[in-house]
Amino acid sequence: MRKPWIAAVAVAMPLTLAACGGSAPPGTEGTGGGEAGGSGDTITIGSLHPLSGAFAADGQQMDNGAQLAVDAVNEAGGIECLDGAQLELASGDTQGAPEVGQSEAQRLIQEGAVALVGTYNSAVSQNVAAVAERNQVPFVIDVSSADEILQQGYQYTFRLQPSAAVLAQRGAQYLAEVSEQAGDPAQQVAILHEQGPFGTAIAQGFTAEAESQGMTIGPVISYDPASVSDFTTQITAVREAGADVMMVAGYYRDGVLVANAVDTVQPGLDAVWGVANGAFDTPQFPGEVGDAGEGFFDANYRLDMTNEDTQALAELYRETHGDDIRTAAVLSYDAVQVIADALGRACSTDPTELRDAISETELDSLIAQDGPIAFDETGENENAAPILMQVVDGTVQQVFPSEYAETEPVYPASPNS
Amino acid sequence: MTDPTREHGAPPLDRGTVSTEEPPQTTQLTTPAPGGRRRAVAVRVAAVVAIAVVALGLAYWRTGNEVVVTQAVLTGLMIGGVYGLVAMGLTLIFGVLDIVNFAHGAFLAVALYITVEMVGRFGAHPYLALLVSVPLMFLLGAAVQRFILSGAMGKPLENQLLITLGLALLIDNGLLLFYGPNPQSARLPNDTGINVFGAVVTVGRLLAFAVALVLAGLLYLLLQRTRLGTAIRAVAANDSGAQMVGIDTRRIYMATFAIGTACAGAAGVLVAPLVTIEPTTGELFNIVAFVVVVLGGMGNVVGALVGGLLIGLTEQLGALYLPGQSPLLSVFIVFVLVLFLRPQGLFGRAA
Amino acid sequence: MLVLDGLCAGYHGLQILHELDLRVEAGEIVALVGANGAGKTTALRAISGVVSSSSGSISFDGQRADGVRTAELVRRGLVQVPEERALFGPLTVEENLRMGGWTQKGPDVSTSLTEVFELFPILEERRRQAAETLSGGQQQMLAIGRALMARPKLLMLDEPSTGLSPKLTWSVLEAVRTIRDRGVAVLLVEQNAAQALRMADRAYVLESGSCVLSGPGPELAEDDRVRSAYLGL
Repeated sequence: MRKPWIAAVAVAMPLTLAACGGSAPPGTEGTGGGEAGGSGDTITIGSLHPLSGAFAADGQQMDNGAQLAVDAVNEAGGIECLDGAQLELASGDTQGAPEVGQSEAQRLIQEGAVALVGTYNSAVSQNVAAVAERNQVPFVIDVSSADEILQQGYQYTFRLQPSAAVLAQRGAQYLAEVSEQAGDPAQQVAILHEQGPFGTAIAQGFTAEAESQGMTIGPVISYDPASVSDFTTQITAVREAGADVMMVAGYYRDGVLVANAVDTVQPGLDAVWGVANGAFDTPQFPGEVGDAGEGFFDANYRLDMTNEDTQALAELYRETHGDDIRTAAVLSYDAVQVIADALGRACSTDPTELRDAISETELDSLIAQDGPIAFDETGENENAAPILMQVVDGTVQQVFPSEYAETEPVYPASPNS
Repeated sequence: MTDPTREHGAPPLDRGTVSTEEPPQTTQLTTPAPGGRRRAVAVRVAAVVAIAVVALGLAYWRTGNEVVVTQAVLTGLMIGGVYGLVAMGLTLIFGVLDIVNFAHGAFLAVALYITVEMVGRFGAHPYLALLVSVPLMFLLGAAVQRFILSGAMGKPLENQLLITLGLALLIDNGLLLFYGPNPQSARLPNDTGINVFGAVVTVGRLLAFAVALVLAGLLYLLLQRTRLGTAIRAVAANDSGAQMVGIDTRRIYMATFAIGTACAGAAGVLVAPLVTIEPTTGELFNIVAFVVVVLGGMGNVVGALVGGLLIGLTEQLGALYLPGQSPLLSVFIVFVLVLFLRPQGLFGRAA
Repeated sequence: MLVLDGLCAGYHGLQILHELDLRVEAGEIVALVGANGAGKTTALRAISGVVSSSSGSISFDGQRADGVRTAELVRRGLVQVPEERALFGPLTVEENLRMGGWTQKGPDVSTSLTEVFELFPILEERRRQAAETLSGGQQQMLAIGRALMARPKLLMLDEPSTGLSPKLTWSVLEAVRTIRDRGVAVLLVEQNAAQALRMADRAYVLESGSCVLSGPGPELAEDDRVRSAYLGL
């Protein structure tokens, strides 16, 4: 019998490695948050993000951001009205998969988390929201765009980022305003979107607003972000159709490919207009695509670099992790701050009281938005709004609205794109 | 098992198991005359050409724009060539060792990171990484087969599926641990666009296609004209027969797996300048490679190349036919259609 | 040259061969006949190492041959043509033959190729055809030719007459005689006892895994018991 143990080891090792992210066998139903707050000396907050798999880059950043918030609260003395109780972050790896996220949420609740933050993937957040509702544990979404999550009447789920509907509507509105301001109003807008619920929702919302602003939409091209490897055909089609602006809604990998294809095909567009694009406003993007990305716009929620506190956080992140902080991580930071602030007002770890306190939040954000964080009856952050970024001279800068602008927008973007 | 390079119209040799009780079934085969077999091939080629013409016509009618169609065809061929190279290694491994190698994409990912190291650490031109990646991956493949997989030969299928799957997870997570999840790149210097019949292609993509074809040709020559290559085909055709002529089949398994992995290593280097490099990038190619292998006929190297080109074209043209739908839908349709008409794949041997 | 001594062998706990004694000397044709299930093929498979033996011994050319890998036995000069022929279907006739010479040096391969083509001219005619497109008789010749390429000292043939017409069987066996005349010992397992016995120098009759009768071939061919049991007379 020729060493069956080799097979066993080969299977066991990667499972062990994956388990290092903190996975556990699917938990049983939780009975409720209850007195799970821990010894009273530490209060546990659960952090659910994709720490491995395709989304690990953002997921790990977000987990780091949440940890920095926990550290900041603890350094400031913890939760005052709970005798300076310290916070503790319990991290779970969702792997970007809904079932894993669900079981991780169960596990964290069972191990005593009084609240959850996460998750980055809409499908995962959907499941975690259901778990949170069932167990009556507050869940603050840092990043997830799907409108449906908060349309089910959940009482325990809140969202910080602007929903897809808001992102799309503002994205189109900004295009109208910026292009008119530049004396070159956008007339025909092509849409290139990833085919999943996220891209589709953005495309639909954008179309509605753009048409009401007098623009024509077309062609609309969708693609599979998981398998696409080249966009020259799609960009050629956009060029041949005579569009003057192209809206792009997708993720990081495909965003880079779009930039490369635009550079190759030279479609003669006035602007490449990202809406909630996973690439165009990331710090890594200009480095990866070089000149090809110059002038690209993105209407997205964003850390507010004109805010001193945000700058300090970015500085701290650089020192601690040696990397530029992404907006998603700042949202996770905010999410933990929301919970800490609510604990400070509820003066209790009882989940229902905590939930009520969260719903009354009025907290300044490190994200650029229309006002402080405040939740409406469905749990949406009513002041959440995207701002407009552009790649100018190789860095991503905030350009619109003017109260957040670091520099003027360049429209049309460049002779090349 | 199959001859990796030959396509055939004739029914296969009946190998059967040796029975001690009954005399074996008669091995008198109906022999199509040599002219007949050539005719079957010509018919198939004509059919493919006819379909291609119809497809292009449809695409033109749908878009009304020949530039877009030309672009789609060009891009499709370029991408398809690389798909073919990735699939060739996979199909060779299947044809000879009967192993479905789930770790193929992970090996490709290793090659991606070798390229990143070469460019980042030594400032070398990305293609120079071929000199490192191909030999390194060859050795890695040999080691994996010799020490990890050889125990699973002849055992139930589930064993080797689990092992290669476990290996893939191990490599992916190892890369994640070592390099982190942040995207990396290994760009070509001066990657300009070249104009071809009104369509455009970057130098990088054109080179990837050309080198993929060259490597495919070399692989074909290896299998057809060298002693080792013939032995590999012999083992694929009849394992016990190979032992009976004195071939050490264990060495052949090792060599074949090594060659297949080296193909992944080469493909990885060619593809590195064209993609965002993350630990999971290899998995994308894994899925396409499997589709191509099944489409082209499992174990057939020519089939892998043709299948790759076909999938590449289908992806691009599909985006034109059904602009609102995912191009994957077209790939799916073509896949099902081909298998329905020819279950063994385009160049596969009838079961 | 080949000695089986008290060999017991079988599969999955089922013992097929019981204390089988058998020998083949250089330069002779030895036939092994018997009914279906008598153990003839098992004996061959035990010799080539495909089936393991539980007791007894096998030696070839003075060396122990039990448990030795097939490929190694080929290198020592013990080559088998199995019942199912195990040809490389998609490879050409010539490629099959050249693979047969895998254990030989380059120049020897060319010489052997010429010799095989002399013995089986039809193979030279069809040298570029795929093996699987040959007729049954041609495939058998190819299988034997391929085995000869390894320059065996002892050639083992498992039921070469399978699926062949009597006329073809005769020409194949004629070739076997030529092979013996060129100095290769032959162990011939056949169900078609008549022709086999007539051309064998010695023969063994197997029944239920043991040898029940042995002696010079032609003598056994005349033996009453053999005639009634195996020759249908």
